Amino acid sequence: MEEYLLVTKDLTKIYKDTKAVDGVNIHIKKGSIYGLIGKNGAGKTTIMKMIAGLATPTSGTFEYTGFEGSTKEAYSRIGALIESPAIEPNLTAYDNLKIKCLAYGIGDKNYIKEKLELVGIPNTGKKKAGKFSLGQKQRLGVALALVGDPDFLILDEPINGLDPQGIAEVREMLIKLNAQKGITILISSHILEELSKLATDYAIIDSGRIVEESTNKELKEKCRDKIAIKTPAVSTAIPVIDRLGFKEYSVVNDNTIHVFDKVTEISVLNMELAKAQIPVESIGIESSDLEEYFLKVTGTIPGDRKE
Amino acid sequence: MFTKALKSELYRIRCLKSTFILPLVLVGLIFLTNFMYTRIDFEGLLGMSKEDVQSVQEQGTSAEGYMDSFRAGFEAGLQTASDIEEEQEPVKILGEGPLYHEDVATVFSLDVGSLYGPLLLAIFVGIFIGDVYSTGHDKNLIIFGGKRGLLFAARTILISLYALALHIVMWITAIVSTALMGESAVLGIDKSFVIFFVVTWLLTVAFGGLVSAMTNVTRSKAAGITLGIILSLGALSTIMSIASLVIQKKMGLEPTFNLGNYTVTQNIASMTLYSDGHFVLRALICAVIYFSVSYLISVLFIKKRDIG
Repeated sequence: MEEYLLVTKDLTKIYKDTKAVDGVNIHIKKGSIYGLIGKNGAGKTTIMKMIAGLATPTSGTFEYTGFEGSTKEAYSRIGALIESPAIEPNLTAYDNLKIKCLAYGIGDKNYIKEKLELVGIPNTGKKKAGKFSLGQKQRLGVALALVGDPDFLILDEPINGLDPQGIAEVREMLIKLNAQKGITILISSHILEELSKLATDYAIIDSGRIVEESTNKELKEKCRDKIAIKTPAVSTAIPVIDRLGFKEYSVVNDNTIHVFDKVTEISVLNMELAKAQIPVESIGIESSDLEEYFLKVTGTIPGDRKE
Repeated sequence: MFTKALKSELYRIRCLKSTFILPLVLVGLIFLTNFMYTRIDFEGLLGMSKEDVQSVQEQGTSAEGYMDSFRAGFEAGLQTASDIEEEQEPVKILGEGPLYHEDVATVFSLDVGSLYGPLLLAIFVGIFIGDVYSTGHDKNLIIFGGKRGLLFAARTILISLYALALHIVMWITAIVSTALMGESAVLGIDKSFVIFFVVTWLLTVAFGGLVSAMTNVTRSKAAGITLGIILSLGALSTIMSIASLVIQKKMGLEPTFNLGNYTVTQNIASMTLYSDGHFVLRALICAVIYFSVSYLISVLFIKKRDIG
């Protein structure tokens, strides 16, 4: 059985008349990189704020099962960059980190230098943080989140404003932190392709509700190219598929089969099904990238399903 | 945990430019004020008599005391000016001011009554607390999740210490300016000075608490600073006077009743080294009540409200 670090139960946040988060249940495994996908205003930031202790849930609970002690004690093991980086604009990067280091009881001068090097801004010197580029501010925000060497990192759109090289560097850094130090990461991003390069688990959120929670493997399976067969005779079609040597397929429901391997052999499969006198309502190759899949699931593409 | 919060917030204060600029401004203002008290010859310039000067010293720098003294001085001054015009004698500006012969304690008590201390403290508190909201500073301090009251307690202690530092700066400036511009620099430290020093400091802390509460409630440094400026300039004194009259009439109180006596700024402005025990007790109670209420309001908002 997998060990969860954080489990939420019907987490809800209501602002006046608006339900920002509506009965959210997410399960974050220890050591995972959990991607939170959703449009602007979907409720990602509010979820992050609640589990970081920055906002109080209207109802529902969350529990840090992966830490020893209570949730309040767990707060000392969490680092977060939520919304814009909380930076003192008139101070240098060093001073910004020093303030947080003192609050966490860290007095080692090299510690700050290490963190600045880790996020790629080691030489900002006496330059005030207010004069940093958007990317530099974002990196400083990540560095602030890393102070205290947290076991759980909450990052809200951490690659916002970064150039492609910066995005790649932050991605590599997060993968390294996850792999080498075992830090569990909850990350949200609009750039879904980027998220797909590092996340091991996903939750798709729309209008404050979790539409789907899946692993990276499951999601990739849903997004990869496949032959979609619609037939009322699923049970008689399966032996034909087996006989032709297709190994990766799944029965989606009573009249749909998805075949994932040898996608180019669709005509052969179609012919054999016809020979076996199996009624086929439709057969074709379906493909979608993560973005497309996300749009389908959240019902943003007209005519598609929205749960 | 509390010590860590103190250290962190102290470092933040150290990094604020205003932390060091405001005391310098205070030094400048106090020097100018003391120059006026010790080297401007009001007697010669405005015709203020020794009794008028004595009146200012005994009544403190409350608005009413000032007005009475200056009205008398101004009227006499007009007469003097016309006399001078007639006699064609040069106007004497510099000379021995009303506090030229006074000790440091007396000069300091008038400096405190000028309310420059609370004014500058309001600016400091507005910036120090307001920055927390304008930058989202507390989002970085998840470690204090569920212990935000602790963080605010640390901030309040540092504000109190800053108010003390401003008080000390004011006293040192009074010593230096008296030594440079007065007859001599006799410190005049006695029991009444110590009581005056401590009580006015506590009142200033309570004033800082009010500004802090306003900043916390509105999450705006401008709102906190504006309140501080309004209060320290005595802009509400007219409203207070009207309210006092209404209360006197409605409740049948004596004409001596003045609502302003129960405000922090009026207590700071009107307290002198000669204030009696009753005045001191009332000022202390005011300080405690205003501080406690504003602190509780701040904590209530800080604990209940979401961050960011």
